[in-house]
Amino acid sequence: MSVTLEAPGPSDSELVARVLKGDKNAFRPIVERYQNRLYVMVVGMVRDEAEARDLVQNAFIKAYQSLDSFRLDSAFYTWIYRIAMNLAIDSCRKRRRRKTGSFDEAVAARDEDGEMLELHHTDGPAEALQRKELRQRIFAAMEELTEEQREVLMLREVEGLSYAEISETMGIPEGTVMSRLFYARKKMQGLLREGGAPTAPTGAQKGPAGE
Amino acid sequence: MRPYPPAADPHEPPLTEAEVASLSLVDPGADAFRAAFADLQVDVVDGVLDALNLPDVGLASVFAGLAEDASVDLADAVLAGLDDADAMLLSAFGDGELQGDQRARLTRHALRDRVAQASLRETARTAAQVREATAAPVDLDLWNAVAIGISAELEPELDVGDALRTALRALPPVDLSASIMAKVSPLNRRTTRWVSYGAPFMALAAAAIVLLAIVPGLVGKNSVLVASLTDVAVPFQIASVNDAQVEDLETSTDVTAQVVQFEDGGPTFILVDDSAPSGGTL
Repeated sequence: MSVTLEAPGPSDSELVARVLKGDKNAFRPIVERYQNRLYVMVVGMVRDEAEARDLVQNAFIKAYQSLDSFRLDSAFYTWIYRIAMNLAIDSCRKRRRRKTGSFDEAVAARDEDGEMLELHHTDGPAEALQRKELRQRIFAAMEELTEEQREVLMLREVEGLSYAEISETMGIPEGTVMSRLFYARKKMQGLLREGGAPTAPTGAQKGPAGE
Repeated sequence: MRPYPPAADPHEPPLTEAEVASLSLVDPGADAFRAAFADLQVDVVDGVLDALNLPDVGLASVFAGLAEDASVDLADAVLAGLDDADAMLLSAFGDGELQGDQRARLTRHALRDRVAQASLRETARTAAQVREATAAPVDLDLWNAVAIGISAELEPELDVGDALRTALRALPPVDLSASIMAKVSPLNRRTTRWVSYGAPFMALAAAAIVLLAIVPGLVGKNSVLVASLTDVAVPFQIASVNDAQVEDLETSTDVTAQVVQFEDGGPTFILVDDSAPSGGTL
């Protein structure tokens, strides 16, 4: 178990203020502070690592370009999260319109280059393969959710936000959060059962249905 | 809409704190069945369930425990006993989003109902899978690309080695060899220099310098607060203090080492500079 030491640094607002005064490099700690969180959320939306990197990168650039519209008394992460998520949703819609190929084909193509196997390069080969299989199943199931369902699922399961926080982030009532999350989970679980249950973390294992 | 879960028996005593805390989603009663069917393959169990035309909540609850680690299909069967409205409440309960009487009723219900437990367990499992599938790569670093996009100046890479070397050489020499080596066993003095360690730690960018966090007490009273390196902006990762220990330390005469403890009782760092001029202190 290791921990990352992060020296207490200036607040987001202080950094933004410095950027607004012309210190572009003050934007670096902001990028480093939030790139992982944003990436995780975006990759959950678009299910493509390379595209997620591009989108998060573009979100930071877009945020920088419109930084003067950011209110210093508000939460920077929430603000940039919305930018990133809008980019991700746009990307999903464009991809759906183009219909250039299924997700599985895209994943398979990337797998030939070993990209997905390299993501967690501390894994051994067996663990990497197992992780790849899990990712394929989970991503394939998430592909079937609506963007709204996918977003609420990610906000809850990955970001760990409460219903109230999700409500504020997405601008929807808490009751809608509850129902949207429930149906997202139900659909995910149904799809995972149809496509075969991902390997359980521990204990007995069960192959995909029909095998 | 009918209440979910059904109202509690008014003669039943209220739940104790211990009962609520024991909501571990594991049915102790299933242990005997798990043992009895330990040799059966999971698909055999599923076959039995199919033959019994589940959901029969009573039997399903037993088998849900039996196939706990592979109960996704099984949960599908047992969950058929819940309608969406009930399951939605249960989902919110699992998220800790219910309050007051509604929460109390769901807690009581989840303590006793294997269907509810299977549902909560599957939700938790799916959440864990989503988290694992979307985990960020360990080497994500977008700053250079963003900097180009916003025309920021890219600072030259910080030469960690030089920075630390400079800081180290500014420190007064301290001969700590005896105090360190007395605590490190076995002690082998060889002409080659080599440092090995028992916990993962991140090597700094400059390979000439290594930084070890070791268990306080290994150096113990012999460690000395030499100086603060707060002026050296070096992001680094260390092992949790109790996970790290020096297994072996072999030295040479041309290595400079310093022991740094930033606070009394805090982690102790050994900085080893193997590119220092000959005649180092260790």
